[in-house]
Amino acid sequence: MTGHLDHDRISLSVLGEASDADRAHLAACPVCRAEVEQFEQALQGLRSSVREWSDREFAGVSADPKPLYRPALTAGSMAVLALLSLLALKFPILHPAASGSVATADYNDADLLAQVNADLARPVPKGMETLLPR
Amino acid sequence: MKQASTTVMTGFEYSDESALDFERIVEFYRPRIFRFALASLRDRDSAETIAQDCMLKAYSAAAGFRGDCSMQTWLMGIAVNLIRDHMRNRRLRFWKRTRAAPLPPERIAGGESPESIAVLRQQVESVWSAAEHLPERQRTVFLLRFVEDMDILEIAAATGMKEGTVKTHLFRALRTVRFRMKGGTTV
Repeated sequence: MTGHLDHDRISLSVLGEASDADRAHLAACPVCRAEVEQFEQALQGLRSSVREWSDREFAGVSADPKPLYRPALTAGSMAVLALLSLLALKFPILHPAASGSVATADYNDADLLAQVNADLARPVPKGMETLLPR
Repeated sequence: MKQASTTVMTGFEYSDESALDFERIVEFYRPRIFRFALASLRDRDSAETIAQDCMLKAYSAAAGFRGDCSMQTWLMGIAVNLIRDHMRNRRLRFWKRTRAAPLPPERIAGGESPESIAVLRQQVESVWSAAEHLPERQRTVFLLRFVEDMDILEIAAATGMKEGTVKTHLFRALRTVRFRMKGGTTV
């Protein structure tokens, strides 16, 4: 016997790919046999630990299923919230306005309507007016 | 499990409508896909997403399943691809780090002395830690072999690798894991 099995040969033994010489060595060498058994035991421990962990996590998943489109729902909710906030600013219905405020709103609407009419009257959109022949 | 459902689990008789019970397939295989994804990604939310996506893909591609391999191998193949894509995307989203999940060490070699349990627990943690740092393909074959108990041919079918390539990756993975288990830092 020239020495114990190295990492490579121990690994091959665990994989069941040991050479005949290594098999004979393992049969005769309790140190190397213990190394192989210890490695196999660690791998079995890994298997059982991962399975136990997964079972526990999966039970949590089953009890609290994740919505399929959570990101889309979140983005949609935020968009709706933003829209509602804008509407609340523009039309403060939650705080009944005084008559002066209503008059201001009417006035703003009239301005807006005038602006829209002016824009519609343009031959081309404002940004393209520079392209028109002079 | 009933005999009829066992038939469904081992082969996907798409032409036989009576055998096509996708709900039972999901019920049977989803925990396994979840487990493999969890071991690969170490993140529950990601594993859940992979398991869901895998089942959706399997459902939409069911007609393409010819029964050349077992249902588990076919589904694992889909999961392997999904996990690979997920990891690539995760590498790009470097700002979104997932929590590193420690392996719960309960029930390791129960019934033995506290000292031997402690030693084994440490070894299992070393293996778990070493597996995290394996290259992607080595980690995939390592987990399929030592967590999912798949043999070389099944792993080859699931990953699309040749049998010899699987063996090579498995050997390299095992060598690295053992080296790190023994306190080494590089191979």
